[in-house]
Amino acid sequence: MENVFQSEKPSLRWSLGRVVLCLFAALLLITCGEQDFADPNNPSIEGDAASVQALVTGIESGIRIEFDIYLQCVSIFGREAYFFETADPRYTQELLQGPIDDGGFLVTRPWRERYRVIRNANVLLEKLPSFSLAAADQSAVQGWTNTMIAFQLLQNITFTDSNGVIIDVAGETPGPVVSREQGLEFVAGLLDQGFGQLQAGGATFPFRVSSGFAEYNSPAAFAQVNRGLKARVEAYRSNWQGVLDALGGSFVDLSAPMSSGVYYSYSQAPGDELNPIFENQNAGTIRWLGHPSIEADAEAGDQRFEQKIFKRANVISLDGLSSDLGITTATSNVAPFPIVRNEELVLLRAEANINLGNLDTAQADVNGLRALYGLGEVTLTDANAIDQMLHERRYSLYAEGHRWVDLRRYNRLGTLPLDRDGDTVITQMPIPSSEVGQ
Amino acid sequence: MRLPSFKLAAVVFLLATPYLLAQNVTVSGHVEDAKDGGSLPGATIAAVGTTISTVSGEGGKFTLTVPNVNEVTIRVTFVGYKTFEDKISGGATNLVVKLEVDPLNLSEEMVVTGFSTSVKRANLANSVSTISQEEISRVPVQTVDGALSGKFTGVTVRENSGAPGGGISVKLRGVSTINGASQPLYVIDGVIVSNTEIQSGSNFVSEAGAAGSNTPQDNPTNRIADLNPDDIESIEILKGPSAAAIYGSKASNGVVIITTKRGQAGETRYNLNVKFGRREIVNKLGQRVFTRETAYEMGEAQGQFFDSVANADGSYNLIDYEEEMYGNVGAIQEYNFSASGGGDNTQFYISGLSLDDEGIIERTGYRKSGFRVNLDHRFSPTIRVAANVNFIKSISDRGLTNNENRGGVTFGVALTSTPNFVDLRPVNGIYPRNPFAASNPLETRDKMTNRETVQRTIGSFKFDWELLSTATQTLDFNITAGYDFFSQENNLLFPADLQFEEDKSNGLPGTTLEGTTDSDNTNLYFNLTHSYISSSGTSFKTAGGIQFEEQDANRRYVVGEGLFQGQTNFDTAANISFVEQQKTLQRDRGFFVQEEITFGDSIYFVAGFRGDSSSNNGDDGKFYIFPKAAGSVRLSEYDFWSGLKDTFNEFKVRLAWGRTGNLPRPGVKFSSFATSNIESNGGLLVGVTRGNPNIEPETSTELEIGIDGALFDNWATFELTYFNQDIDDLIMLRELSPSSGFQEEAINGGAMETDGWEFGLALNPIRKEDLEWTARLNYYKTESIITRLDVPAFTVDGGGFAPVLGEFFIEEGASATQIKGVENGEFIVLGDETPDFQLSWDNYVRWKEWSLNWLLDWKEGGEVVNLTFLLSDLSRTTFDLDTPEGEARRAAFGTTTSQLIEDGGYLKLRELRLQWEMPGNRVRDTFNGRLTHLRFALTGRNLWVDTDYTSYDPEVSNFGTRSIGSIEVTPFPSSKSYYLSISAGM
Repeated sequence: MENVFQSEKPSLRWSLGRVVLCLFAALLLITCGEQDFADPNNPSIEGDAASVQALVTGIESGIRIEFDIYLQCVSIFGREAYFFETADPRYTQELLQGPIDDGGFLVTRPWRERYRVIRNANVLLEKLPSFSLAAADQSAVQGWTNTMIAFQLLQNITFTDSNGVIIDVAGETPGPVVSREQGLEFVAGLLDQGFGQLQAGGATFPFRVSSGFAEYNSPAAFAQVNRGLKARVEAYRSNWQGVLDALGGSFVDLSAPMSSGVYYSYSQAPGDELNPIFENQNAGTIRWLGHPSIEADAEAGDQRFEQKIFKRANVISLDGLSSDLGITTATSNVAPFPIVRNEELVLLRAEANINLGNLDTAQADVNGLRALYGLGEVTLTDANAIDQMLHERRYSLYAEGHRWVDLRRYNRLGTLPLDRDGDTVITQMPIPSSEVGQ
Repeated sequence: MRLPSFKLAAVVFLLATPYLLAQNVTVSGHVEDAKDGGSLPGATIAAVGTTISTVSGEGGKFTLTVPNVNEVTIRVTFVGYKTFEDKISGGATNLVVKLEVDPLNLSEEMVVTGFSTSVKRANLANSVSTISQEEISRVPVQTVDGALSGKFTGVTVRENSGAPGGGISVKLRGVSTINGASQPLYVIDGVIVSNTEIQSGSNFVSEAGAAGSNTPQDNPTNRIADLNPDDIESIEILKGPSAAAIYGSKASNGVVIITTKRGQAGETRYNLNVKFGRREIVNKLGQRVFTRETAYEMGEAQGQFFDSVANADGSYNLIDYEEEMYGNVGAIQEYNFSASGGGDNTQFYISGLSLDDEGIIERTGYRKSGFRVNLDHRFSPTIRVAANVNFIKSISDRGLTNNENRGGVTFGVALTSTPNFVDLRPVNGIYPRNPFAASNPLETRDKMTNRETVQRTIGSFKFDWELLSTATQTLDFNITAGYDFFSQENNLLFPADLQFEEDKSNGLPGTTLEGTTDSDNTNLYFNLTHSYISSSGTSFKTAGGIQFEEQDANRRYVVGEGLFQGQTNFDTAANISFVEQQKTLQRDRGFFVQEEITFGDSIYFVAGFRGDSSSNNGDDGKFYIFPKAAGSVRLSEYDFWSGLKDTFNEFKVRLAWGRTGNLPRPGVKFSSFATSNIESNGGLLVGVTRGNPNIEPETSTELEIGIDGALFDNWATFELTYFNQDIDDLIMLRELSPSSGFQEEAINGGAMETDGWEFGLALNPIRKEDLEWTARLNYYKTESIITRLDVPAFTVDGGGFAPVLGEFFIEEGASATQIKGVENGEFIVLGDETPDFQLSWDNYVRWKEWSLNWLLDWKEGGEVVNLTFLLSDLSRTTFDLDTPEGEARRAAFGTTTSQLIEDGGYLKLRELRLQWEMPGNRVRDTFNGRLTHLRFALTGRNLWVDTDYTSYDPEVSNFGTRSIGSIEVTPFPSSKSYYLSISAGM
């Protein structure tokens, strides 16, 4: 090749050619970056971007995702509320008349998001040894994380109930569907494990939590939350002494504010979420409406009803259903939403005592609670105690996701009011069709 | 002609055999049109049997020197003219070559076959279609992809909506992917340019992706729209893998090769094109006339409203909302100016464009302006550079159309539930509230903004170095660098006083959205080409090269809610509701080797392969090989054909085989955290997609076989092609067990087969001085079958909303474009998007200075899912509900699907042009030589449509540009346009 060049007379043009070549060589260096690069948008799961704080915040953030769909479903099933979405007939058809589509988003989205949080929690537990924390701090993280896994599993169990749940999800491939009872037993065990870890967890958490968890932001305080959730699980298992035992370690306190507890938090910070339950009650039309029975069955002067329901000037109708009851459990678009709070624990204590025959103890809790809302005392008898307790739970925990679960526990779903011909009460959600292991 | 023999020794490249009888033959002269004597710059003058050739320059002049011979045969060729051959002994000066017009003689046209190689059409082994400037822009068009309709066999063009500024899907030879990139690769002057489609973000307001389908439905534009059609010299389409293999893993949807105009040596020529036009809706559907009874059937509230506005006899003031909303007659102005010329060493072409095109909805429209500079310079006899720069700015105002889930905020959906007895027109500037939808669409139209602003610079640079040149061989080194940068800005503004903003549940009226995308595409190619011609006339062309390509895009969206009146900046909003940043980075490397052998003029053979690696593949370092081989034989060149030569003056058989790929989307190999935020604390939550570190490109292997011929001395030419594509390793999204914590992953899990027939016929039956007629027929049909599916049957992404609403459903053994729906409770096949066939008929008739062009485009069959009437039936506003057919359709809602599946066939008068051109000599006389040409034309696009489709236009796609899916949901209606054009040359 060289002599080919020399056969031409050397001139300025050849060096020009070389200059151009050099320019292109430079261009080549700029253009040909590495082909092996990391995800330019998000940190790799295997990589070292994660920290305890980041994963804890991820869990706290993740528990909120699609929780609104879960709450809409169980509140509609329990005839606490309607959701009038003109563009989607599923809320007024499928959820009130069945059958439930096991591939539909109403079941698949909440279900899978709970498992996504659990996956995140398991990533945190796996990575924990690499974060070089003191033993007590490690234990505190494990205790908090296991409590959150248990909470998320419990929500899927209440959703699918007798259809079962999948508990073996730490590995690559999920395990089989197990029964509701096995699921609850697993959750109870996980809570106990977490409780022990929290007790060994030192004075403070080695991470910050959001405002919703701020009241119980130390291992010792969060252990009380753990026991509160344990009490709920034991109630679902009808293990009444177990409820009382768990409540003994919890923050239950009739003289404390009923709102004391842990919450989903929302904020207007960029990238954060707004409370999806909140609606502007002054708008001409809203979607999240109280079931008329909540008004019909309310005791006169029940401040719980007055605080949680906004009586609208206009009736809103869709698909043969009507309501003029706005739901104000979320008072603003950044209002927190309860995960577990004192009022539920007081009522769990009453419920356990009723089931154990300690009506006097239960009556003290029930009347103490009623007094807070301007209601007179009631006398519990063997005949009315369960009814009265369910009535208090209905109004104290209105539209917080309990009514449907409670009536199912007491086999009373048949007592729910049906609005239209063809309406029925869904008893449990199906396992999503995409679960390969079902 | 003697059958040439193949000598292996001839492959030894650099051994030039010296000619012993040393003498040089120099031929000089000029080339002119035999009819009017006009000079013909750009004709090719070649010395037969050598690699030496030149191109005529200014005034058609040329000089050709052939060393070491005593006599030489020169051949002068020019596309659209008969070939001229002459034997010259000892040289010649002032040779006058007169070429005779032969419109169908395209055999000498050079067709690009790779990065640095081309072959003349007569030898081409593939069906490759080319159209010229004249065919692209004879009828004005907003975007260049729109000009392709009906002009090629095997090319299906669909306008996704009538919104100004583009949004066009181009499909070459049917379906070749399901989840992969669906559009052809666009190559302009040798470098790849971006044709990406970026969502505007209107979904944030329409919430179209919030329920039945989470696929964006923002009615996006695709970026090839930015190119100025008037700058284009020619468009060539490599339709299938056998032709496009050299473009490797980006070419499974075919390649569109665009060549822009270049300057030619000579006096500077100026050209001015001015177009004035009007745009209006193609067809209106009509209005339902309500009675008290039918008003009450809509609902109690509607009935009472009717009573409050109707006269005693039941008549009322009917507001024609179609006229109110879509009745605008848009004014169009377009100015194109170009200048070209230069000397022997430097040539230039510069052009400028200004376009203002109003839409049929008020306050919508498309404006584009830009310029181009194309420069060529010869540094030395052996070094040439070409540099091109193109800058474009376009602004499109696209309104708010298509699907939504906000109770009626897009124009179309709001109108479906607004009965025409409700008057929403403003009174003293106050817009009445719409009692029957979330918005007053007239108010929304008059106050909102949905503007897309694109600023784009495309530059390319080509450096050619002839390292070696002898009578029998040449060696060329070439570097091509391309740079394509654009910034797309989407500004959406919905002021606080709009009905649906005031009523918003989060109490933050007023929404502003700012979307910004910066996209950088760089290409760098090094090529080496060696040509050798043996003494027996066999020529060899060996080419090889390496390619580096990078695409780097950065997209940001910010949404602010809670606006003060008149404020648009998101930092003035009460709340930043949504922020997103998405980067896309793709780096590819490739190399290719190709050998072409031409035996005499009759046998052509090519083989080669491309190796490609990409950062998108699971193994970024692995090179995937895309081979090709093809051959053609011109039977008409052999002695045994002599009896047939009078009938078939040209006859060729060809066979081609090749493979291309389609890369996985960037990022599908990564398992990553999503970031989440709570009260300004950053958190990490596992992402929903599990990465597949083993993902590979889809591959498409094609066998193409065909014959080309010409009859009665080019009175007619024809082309018949059959192709079969096996597409393997289709990328599928596999749904994962939700309890794994992940939703899905991409896998290579399917295969399909696409085959089809293409037939092209060109006729030149009248070829007289005063009367000329040329006609072209293009016929094609394709079919795609899913042959293997490793995932459960599924609905295509963006292929529908629910089974009962009709879904494009992928299942093994079925057509890839089938439409399924519910009938008698069963989910069954109810249609197919692929047409039975497409046929276009293009005509050119000239009588003296008058000429007429018309292009008819016929699509037979091919179903469309029409959901517009579904929505208006729900609200009982459809125009035909008082007819039995309309009522039957309404009654079937929710139980059956067949009433939603419509025949999308059509016959459209795509283009019509009546032109008067002042003869050249009269122009010169009249304007004292100041003008060189003068033309006036009346033109129209989509002036006439015949279709059984009942809604606006069967060319529609709610989900934008996709491989599969024609679904209509209250689109921006299609328009027709007509123009007066004046073109003057100086």
